[in-house]
Amino acid sequence: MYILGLSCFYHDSAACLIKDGKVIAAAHEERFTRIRHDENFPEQTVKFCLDFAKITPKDLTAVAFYDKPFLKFERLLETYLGTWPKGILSWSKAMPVWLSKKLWIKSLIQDKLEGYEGEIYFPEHHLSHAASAFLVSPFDKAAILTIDGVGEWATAAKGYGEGAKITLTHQINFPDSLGLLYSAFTYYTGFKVNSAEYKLMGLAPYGQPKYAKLITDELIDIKLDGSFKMNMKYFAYPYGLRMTNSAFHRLFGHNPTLSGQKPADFEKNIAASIQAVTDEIMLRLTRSLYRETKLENLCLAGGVALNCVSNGKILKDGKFKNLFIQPAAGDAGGALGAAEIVYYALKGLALPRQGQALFNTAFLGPEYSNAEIQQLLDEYKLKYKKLTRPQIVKTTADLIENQKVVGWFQGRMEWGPRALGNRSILADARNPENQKRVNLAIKFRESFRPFAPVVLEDKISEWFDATWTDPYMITVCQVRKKGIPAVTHVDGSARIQTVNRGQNQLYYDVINEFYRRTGVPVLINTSFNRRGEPIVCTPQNALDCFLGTNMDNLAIGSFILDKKDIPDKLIEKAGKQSFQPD
Amino acid sequence: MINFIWQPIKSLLVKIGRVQTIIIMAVVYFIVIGPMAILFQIFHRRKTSGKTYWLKKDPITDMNLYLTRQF
Repeated sequence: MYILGLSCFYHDSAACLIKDGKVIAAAHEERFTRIRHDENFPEQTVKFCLDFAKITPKDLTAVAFYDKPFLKFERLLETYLGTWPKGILSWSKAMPVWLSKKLWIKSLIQDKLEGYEGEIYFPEHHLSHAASAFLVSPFDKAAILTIDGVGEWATAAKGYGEGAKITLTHQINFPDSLGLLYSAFTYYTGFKVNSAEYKLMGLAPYGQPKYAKLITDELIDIKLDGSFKMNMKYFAYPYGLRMTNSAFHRLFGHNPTLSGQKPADFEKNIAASIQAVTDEIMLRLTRSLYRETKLENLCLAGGVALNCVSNGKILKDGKFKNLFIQPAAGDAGGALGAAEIVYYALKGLALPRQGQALFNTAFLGPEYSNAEIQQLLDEYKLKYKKLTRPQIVKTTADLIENQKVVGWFQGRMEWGPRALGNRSILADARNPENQKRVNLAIKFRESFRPFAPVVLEDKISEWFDATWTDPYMITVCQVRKKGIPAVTHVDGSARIQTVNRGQNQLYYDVINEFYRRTGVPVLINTSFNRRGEPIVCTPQNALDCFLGTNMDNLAIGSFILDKKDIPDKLIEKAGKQSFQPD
Repeated sequence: MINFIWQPIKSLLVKIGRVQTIIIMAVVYFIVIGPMAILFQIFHRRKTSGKTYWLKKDPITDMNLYLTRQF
């Protein structure tokens, strides 16, 4: 039984294909179209998923869309009624799109999937989120918390899952939204909404939470159970094209920071403050959920579940023994959740899951053969070395030990916003200069941005203050040992990724070889892209990125390239490619 | 030749269409939405403080119907 899950028309459109409950292919549309956070119908991703399974739309049992469009439209209309006449600009912009496209999603899907004659299902946004975590988790029973910007009406939902059944008991409705509160501060500090929230999170450790009290006194009322209500006097997002209004700016005595401006102490303190408030809300929410459910497992989903700092604090808090967050916890992951909920609904909700849908790899995207890669390298007349797998491992570890920055392109592309070892840039975490070098000369991004470490799973507690494993890079913890300054943030924390050999053999072997040589089982792992560019998908994307940056080497399939061997003409040409900064 | 003449006309019509849409939308916003909005704003109140801001969610009774509906 094949079910196609879709999420699109807002941001980060994606598609995923499940076969008998198990996800077999999934990707974000941006990786194919090269448009960051692409929101359009995921045409190319759907094609990839169907091609991967060697099926056509006719072979699909069902198609699931990740939310209920009419319910969302109702929320929109009611919001315009409540904010009239301030919403005129937003109304004029949104309504034509709704009337021409978003209200006709069913027909649009039918048109795009020529030959498909089955039913199209529409689970609610937060049910899709809940399913994207619980139904693929290793737990038979778990508490569930979903929290994001907004779905139809809900901005957060809680409940529990048992077997194949999810029961969401409560929700918080728009306009009260932790995700939108965080996005409001993202906008206020000069970053791009629905894109750069993670930058604000990375900026937070540089500041002091001086404004946290002001935020909780004026902007948001937080109950003991973590539920919240926002003071809409300060926000423009329900009716405007901006997130905050002049009352908000007067409250902090500062106009919004201009985009691209270097963050000063004010922005750093604002970032620290909103992060502290978010942590507090997430801790209260999860503690009260634990009191209510008395379950030891927690499934988190929604955009806020990508806040690794809060996730680390929830785990450290110790109320829940186990936490599961699927790597594409944001809206893209809704495609997976929608497909899963429909699968279990069609099969019968009483069905025990028996681990058949267990999510155990994020490598669900396309992969390319050595022959395809070699053909590309030959087309460019590039000099390369073709190596065996053990040679690739040794050579890459050797290059990294010798302070080279290596582009690492292997196997199937990752699902979710993080590069987890198949579309990564790897470098030595021991060298403090590497943080600046990779930020400024390779990724062309802000110098304050920290890098994440990848660590051998069995060495995690030796090097980091974490008792858990984290293959999807979704938690932050403190670094225990000195000696890896390039991945140690200013507050001594790091966003970890753990890896064992079963998860990714080649990647593990490189880190293990580096460990054997240096005694350090940690590398810098950052996404293989430049600022504003989606993570590379194809060998062509990888080659363009390698040529257009100051990366030293490229390990692509069985081939190793050295920048020194590349003709200047090619490097100059590739350097001209530019992307809209995120 | 026809294409050469049609392209500028087409782009002009697209621009006119955009302006027309904005005007129609603004008219609908003030004439249709306006009166309803005034009534809505008089009678609608947001939930005020209690012990919690969580709202109870109705259980799904018919999963198949729930999944096929867009609302």
